[in-house]
Amino acid sequence: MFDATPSEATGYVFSAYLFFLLMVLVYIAILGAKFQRINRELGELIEQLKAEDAEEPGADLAEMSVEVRADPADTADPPPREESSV
Amino acid sequence: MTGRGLKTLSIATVLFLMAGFALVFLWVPMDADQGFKQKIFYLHVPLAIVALMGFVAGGIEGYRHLKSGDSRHDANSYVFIHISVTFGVAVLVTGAIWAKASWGYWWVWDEPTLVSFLIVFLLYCTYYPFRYAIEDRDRQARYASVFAITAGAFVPLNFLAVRMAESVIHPRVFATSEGGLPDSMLLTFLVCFVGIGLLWITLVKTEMVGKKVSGQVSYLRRRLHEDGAGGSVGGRIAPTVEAK
Repeated sequence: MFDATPSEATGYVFSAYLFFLLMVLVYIAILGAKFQRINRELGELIEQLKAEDAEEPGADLAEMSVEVRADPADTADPPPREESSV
Repeated sequence: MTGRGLKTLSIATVLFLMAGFALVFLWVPMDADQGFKQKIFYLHVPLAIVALMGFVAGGIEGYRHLKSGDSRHDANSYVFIHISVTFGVAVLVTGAIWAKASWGYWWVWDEPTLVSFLIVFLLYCTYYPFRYAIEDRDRQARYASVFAITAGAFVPLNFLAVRMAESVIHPRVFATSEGGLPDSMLLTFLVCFVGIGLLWITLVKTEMVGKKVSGQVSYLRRRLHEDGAGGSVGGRIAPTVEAK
């Protein structure tokens, strides 16, 4: 059971557990900062891509239309629309 | 190794660690010989075992890398060793705290268990400068794998040598004679061990997700700057999982 009377050993035990918890928290904080940096880099790349697309809008549209046509579902003729009898 | 199931794993880790620490401080009986300070062992020993197992796993991944040439195994080996070195710091600090509480000294140089762990830890600390000193990425990965295998094979040999040594100071948690652990202490130890093991796996998985996303960002950057103006291939030091 937990020792109700604090002794020198109590301080050592708690400092060991506290060190471990702090270390895990610091590590998680470092990982968080790393993910934020990656996220920022990804955002910069997307912005760069958008800027390049804005510079060459025609080329981009042609590229997009090729990509869309490459999908077999999009190249298929649409089914004939049924005429409403009303 | 991907980030699949990371949320479930993180929750399981927190639950096991909380349960383990609750058992340590609220349920498990006080050790008759050492008293309250023995409770450090429920943290210190699982950390040491998981760190040593991580070093061995890093060696196995190094071997798989050399055998297959797949850079994912090299990245695994790097991350296993990286997390195990971090755990190694915690092992040394919690061990030193226990030593101060029990022996009155932070460190004892003539104790084989302590010194051997320090040697293993320092050996793995040299992994980083050794790896980063090599610029060519393929050579870096190959040499790092050889290091991981050699050092990984040294870990169990070192453990056995120390175990067979006649140590009179450092306690044996899993003594084969004189009774060993009572059931309540064993259960608490196992819960803490699973918690620490899950923490290691969670951190490894998180690091691997970071490496994978970082590799994908590098790949995107290279594709955007195919003329080589903004690539970061040469600037990278830690291995990343390349986007295919």
